[in-house]
Amino acid sequence: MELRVSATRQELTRLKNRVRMAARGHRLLKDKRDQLMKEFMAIVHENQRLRKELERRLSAAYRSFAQARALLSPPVLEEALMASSGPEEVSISYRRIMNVVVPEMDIRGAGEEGEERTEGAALGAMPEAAPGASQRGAPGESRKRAVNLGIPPYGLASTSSDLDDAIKEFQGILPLLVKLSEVERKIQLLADEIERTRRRVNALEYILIPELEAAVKSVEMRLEEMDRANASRLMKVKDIVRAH
Amino acid sequence: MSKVAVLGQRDAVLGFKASGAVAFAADDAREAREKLGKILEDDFAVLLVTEEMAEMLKEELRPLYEKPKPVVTILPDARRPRGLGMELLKKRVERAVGANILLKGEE
Repeated sequence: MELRVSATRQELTRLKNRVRMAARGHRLLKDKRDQLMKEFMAIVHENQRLRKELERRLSAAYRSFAQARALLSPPVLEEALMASSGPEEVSISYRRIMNVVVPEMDIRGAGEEGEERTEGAALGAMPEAAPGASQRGAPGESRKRAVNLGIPPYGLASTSSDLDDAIKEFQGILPLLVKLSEVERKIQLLADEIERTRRRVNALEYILIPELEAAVKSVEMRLEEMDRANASRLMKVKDIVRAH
Repeated sequence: MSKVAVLGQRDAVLGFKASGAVAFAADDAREAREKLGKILEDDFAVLLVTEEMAEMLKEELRPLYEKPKPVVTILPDARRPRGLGMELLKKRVERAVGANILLKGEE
């Protein structure tokens, strides 16, 4: 499509300014797109890594959980699951990547707690009698203490070790899942932004800038043509004047 | 402070109760929609959906991808992985980049 402009010198300067402006915008957007792409690729690769790990760990967790479920009666299982942890809290903060607001999620205290848990487990298996004793204290207190010591807060006599494994697996998975969610959301937001930026880059590169340049050219040609017409008219007039 | 929700079949989400997520069990599409409504009323940061559920609730989940909260993530199904989450990701990457660049790393 051709831009319709009047062929005047003023219009020509205006057009030239617009071309300059568009070229600058194009360059900036292209840089933005490249940078976004770089960030995007890093996140995509992280996502792939996370998903693979998650798939592996999740299937392990399901496996031990299925074993536990086969051995335990549903009410006992339900009770053990309820007791093993309250809902974890997730805090969200926001960060900007190239002016795209992305969420960063953090599971409250899960990192430290998880470490403590594994630490407790690494300290060596607690003597089997100890958990029973701590379970009889004040319920809230003892639960917290028990969790800190790596002792499950449910009756050990009525549950199997498969359940312990399963619960430990699932507890380890949640932070991973939250991370995965964060990464996937980032990917989605960045993908949208990249698409938008790409469209704008392409629109500038293939439509607006060529159109403007074509307009500049046609105005320049019209002006030159007018100059030539003027010159020849002047010569003609001169001839006529001289003939008198 | 927000929490994490899990939506899926009863046996799939039960284990997540132990992990500190709030589990919502649903066995058919109607129940799943009901539970989804409940989840949206509350303040959840993350919504994990099993692959099966995600397929069942495709239409209902679509508007959620645009919202800041909750972030919907499709869980890889441990028993019958269909790679729905990966599929979705691939589509997004393709749309953004204009080509499938994910295959490169795998082969």
